[in-house]
Amino acid sequence: MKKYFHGGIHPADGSDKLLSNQVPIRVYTPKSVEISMKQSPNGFSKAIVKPGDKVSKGDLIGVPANFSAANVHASVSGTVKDIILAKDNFNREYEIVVIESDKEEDMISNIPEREYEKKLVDLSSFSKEEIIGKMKEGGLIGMGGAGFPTHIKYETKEVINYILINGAECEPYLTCDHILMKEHGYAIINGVLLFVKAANAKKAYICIEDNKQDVAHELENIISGKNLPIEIVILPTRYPQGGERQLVEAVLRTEVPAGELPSSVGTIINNVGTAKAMADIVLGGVPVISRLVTVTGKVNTPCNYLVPIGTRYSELIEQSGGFTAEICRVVEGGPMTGNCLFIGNNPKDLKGSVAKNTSGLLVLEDLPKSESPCIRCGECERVCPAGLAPFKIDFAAIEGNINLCEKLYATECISCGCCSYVCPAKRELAYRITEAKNEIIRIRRERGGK
Amino acid sequence: MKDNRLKGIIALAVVTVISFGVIYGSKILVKDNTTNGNTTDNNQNQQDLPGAIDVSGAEGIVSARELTDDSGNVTGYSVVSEAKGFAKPVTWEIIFENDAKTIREVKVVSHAETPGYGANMEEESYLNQFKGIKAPIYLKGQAPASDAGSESGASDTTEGFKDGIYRVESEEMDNGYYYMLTLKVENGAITNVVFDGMNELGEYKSYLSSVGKYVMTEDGLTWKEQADALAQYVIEHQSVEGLAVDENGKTDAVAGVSISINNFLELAEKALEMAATGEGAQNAGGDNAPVSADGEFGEIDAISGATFTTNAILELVNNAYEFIKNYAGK
Amino acid sequence: MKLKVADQLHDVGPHIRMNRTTKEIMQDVVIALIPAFLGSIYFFGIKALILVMTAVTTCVISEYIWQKLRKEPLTVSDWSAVVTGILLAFNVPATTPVWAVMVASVFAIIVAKQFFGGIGSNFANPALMGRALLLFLWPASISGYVSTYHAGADAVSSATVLGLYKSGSQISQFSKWDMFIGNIPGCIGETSKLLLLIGFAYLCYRRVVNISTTAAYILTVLLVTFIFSGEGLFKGDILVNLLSGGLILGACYMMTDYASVAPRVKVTLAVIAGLITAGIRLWGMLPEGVSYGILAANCLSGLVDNLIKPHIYGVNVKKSK
Repeated sequence: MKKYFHGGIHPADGSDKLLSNQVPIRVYTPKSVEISMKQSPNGFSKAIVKPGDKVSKGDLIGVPANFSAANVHASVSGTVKDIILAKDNFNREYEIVVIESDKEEDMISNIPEREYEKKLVDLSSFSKEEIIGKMKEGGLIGMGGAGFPTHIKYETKEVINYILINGAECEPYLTCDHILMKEHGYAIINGVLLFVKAANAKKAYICIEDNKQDVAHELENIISGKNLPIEIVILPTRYPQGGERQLVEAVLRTEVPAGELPSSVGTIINNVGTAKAMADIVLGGVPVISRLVTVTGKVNTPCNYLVPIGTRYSELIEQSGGFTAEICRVVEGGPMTGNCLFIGNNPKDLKGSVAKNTSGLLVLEDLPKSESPCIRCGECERVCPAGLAPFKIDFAAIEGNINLCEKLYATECISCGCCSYVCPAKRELAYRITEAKNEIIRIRRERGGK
Repeated sequence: MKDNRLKGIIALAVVTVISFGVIYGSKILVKDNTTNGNTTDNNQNQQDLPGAIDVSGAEGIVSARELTDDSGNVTGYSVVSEAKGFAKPVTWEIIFENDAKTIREVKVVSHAETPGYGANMEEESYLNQFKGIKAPIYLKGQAPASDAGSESGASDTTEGFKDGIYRVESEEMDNGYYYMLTLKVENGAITNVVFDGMNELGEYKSYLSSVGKYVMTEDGLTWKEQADALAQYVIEHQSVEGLAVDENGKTDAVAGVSISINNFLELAEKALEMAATGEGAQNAGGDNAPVSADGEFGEIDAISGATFTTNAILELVNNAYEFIKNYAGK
Repeated sequence: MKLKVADQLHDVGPHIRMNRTTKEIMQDVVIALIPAFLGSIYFFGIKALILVMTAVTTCVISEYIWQKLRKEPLTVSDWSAVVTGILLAFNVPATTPVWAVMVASVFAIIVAKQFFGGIGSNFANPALMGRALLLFLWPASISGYVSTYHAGADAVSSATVLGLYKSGSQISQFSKWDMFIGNIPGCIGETSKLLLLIGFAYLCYRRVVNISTTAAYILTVLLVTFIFSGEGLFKGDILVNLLSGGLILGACYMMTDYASVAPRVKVTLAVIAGLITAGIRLWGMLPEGVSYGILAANCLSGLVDNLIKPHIYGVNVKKSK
């Protein structure tokens, strides 16, 4: 029986992914990097180096300053040139460590062939506590977008039965996970086995959408006949299949209760990139200092880049041959849930750099925004994976009626953006509902409630 | 999405053109089969139904078809037949059993007869009397005797009036109304007189007056009642003698009648003249009814006060019978 | 809670959107109605053209004037008034006087739609409300059903097929084929089922409508009339009920009109409307119950919406291990 979740959309026909998944990976090593201490939406770290310090690749340069932050390491060897102060959208301050590289470093050829990239390694010498400790040390966070420190997930007191590995890559345009699975199958499987051990889980499911069947076959080949606690699951291609709650619904046929974490139903979910990074840390001794980034859209040569953390976005655009459209909207992440970095036509104005959870850099044509009245067509309700009625919450939010928003379960919104996508009146539903949700959470916190 | 739309519109346009072709085509088929000028659209479509019988050339027959059961056996016939009523055609559908003689039932398709008179044909009690009777039909008491040569069931008296139905109409409109009068003579005596007026819209004065749309005085008889009274006078007196009128056309001779009766007098006198000589007489339908081959026939009641309507009914039913009898070869 | 106004929302996601706009959807509905519109001219003559044009023009102008007077943003360009005009005209017979159609259009747009807040906020289908007004205040104006123009030299007044069927009169003069292609008396848009259906097919292809709503409505009406009309139980004439009256028009274009039905409960409301329509057809005074059935469903949509609770992910789910 095909596994599926309710709601969802098909925002692309496949041509978007073809832009970048037929092209080989390019390796790019910049002359300098800007490593941000804010590696995730809410995680702030503190820099422990100062300008002038000499650092080597892999050195610790930042420690967590709040709950959802992790260790940050130098991704190139060189000198700390500067520490820049920046502010985010909510006016919170954070630091950016600028390191200038002092030697030509080729990411791939200088690295000795590692065993765990070629075969399955014996993991019996690693204990659960050790593995979790290494997660923390190596600064492992969710590489799929949320950027939450992985070790905190595994330190849960709940009993974990299953690990779900998200190889769905449901957002349009992004292909880095696909390429990763193709090139680094063994490392990923090793990483997954580490996760299973770390959680004392029964089994791991690697979830792949059916538009990546080639990869699924390769992984199957790797694990077949070896009696591993791993199963490859093919899911129908639909957005947002890769959402945590949707994966639980589709694969485990159960729902995560409102307000709870997936661990409450006995599962932990990790991105496939995180699994590979796990293998790097434990088996390769290398912390999180590089990743694959999909640079695609209205650029001349879209492809996937293997880059150190901290590589500037403007340089990546340059490497890809610059913009091909007049006014471009540059998005960090996926087109549905990513942040808009800037709208313009000069790549040099683009600020920002690759973080651990940056899966893609998209250049899209700018969308004119104009809202018109809701016609109550009901499409938003039909596609909402959480089963909400977005148009109703929208009306309530515009009126400022927070109580009604709460009654309509605005807190269950996963901010996937399906509602705004389908709305024929082009209303900003996802935005307003997310705002309402944040407001409700803020009020609850103030009251000291749940 | 734009491609999708263009494809959709083109497909829609093509299918629409084909559909119109189909619609137009089926109407062409239907048009070929219309009978004489009295087109009432409804019936033509019978031609498209299975079992349709060709009615071209049959006078008064609009359409006909065989009724069959699931295995294709003929269970009966449906014949739509029409004849001229008081003013416009009366059209009925007559369902015969498969013996092409017994009438299973009749239904009114259309008519323009006077409400309160000929329109009473629509009443279930009137239509029910047709169920199960055999064609040809006659008015009760008018059936031809099987032995006598029955061209006309009435005796041809030398004195008195000549039998038949006489109909006169006014030439011009008077104050927005045409007037008409029918006079029936049976066995030499006037038995029925109907006097009515009709305006440009085809509305009968009798009807209008009885529903309050044509009022002359607050109290006193309605126009219809007065017209009936005048008619009654002629039947009683078998003439218009005594209906003296003053210069305004009013008379004192009939109680309750205060309208100007010039129109009535003019037509009544003319009708009486015709009745005296037999000129212009139209026969009661029963006179022309086919003699039933096996001596079996059906009898029905007339519609009171609606001679022309009754005649039309007799004519159309019997025409239908003639037609289907020939068709079925019985 | 302060929310950014639409003009300032340049940078929020999602950054890709579906191509479809309100205008496109309404235009699709108009396109789908064109075959039936052409059919109405063919069957009922130039008067049908006049009525439709009048209705559309009056609706558009009313909406424009109203919004200008109230200094509201103009939404006339979304073509929704055009759709209302066409559907309104389709629901009246060809002998309706032009002034009646104009009055109904003004009422439909200004009272039934704009008074309540404009598109998306009206509680009932404006076209049906316009027709209901005429039925209520000037019933004679819309009861002059004529048989099709083409069939006779001048239009002959006649009862509709449903009217005859209900009174038990013979309707064999209307063959099923005629009822399908539209060669019968009736309102100018409801007669040709063939043309209405091909338009509906276009709407389905373009994903503008939800076919289950239409199907639920039609099936409910057919089922109830099958069981109860006709002599004895289960002997009703399905084809007559399917092909006569405004059932196909109502099911395909009025039931699926967005503002009329709450999304989640579309099918339930379709069933309710079907029961009411069938009820009126069988036991009510009037031979046709489509308008009232749909209007009743419109009015009940709020209630049903509250009664049928949606399933929200994660709510009322027990923690399982």
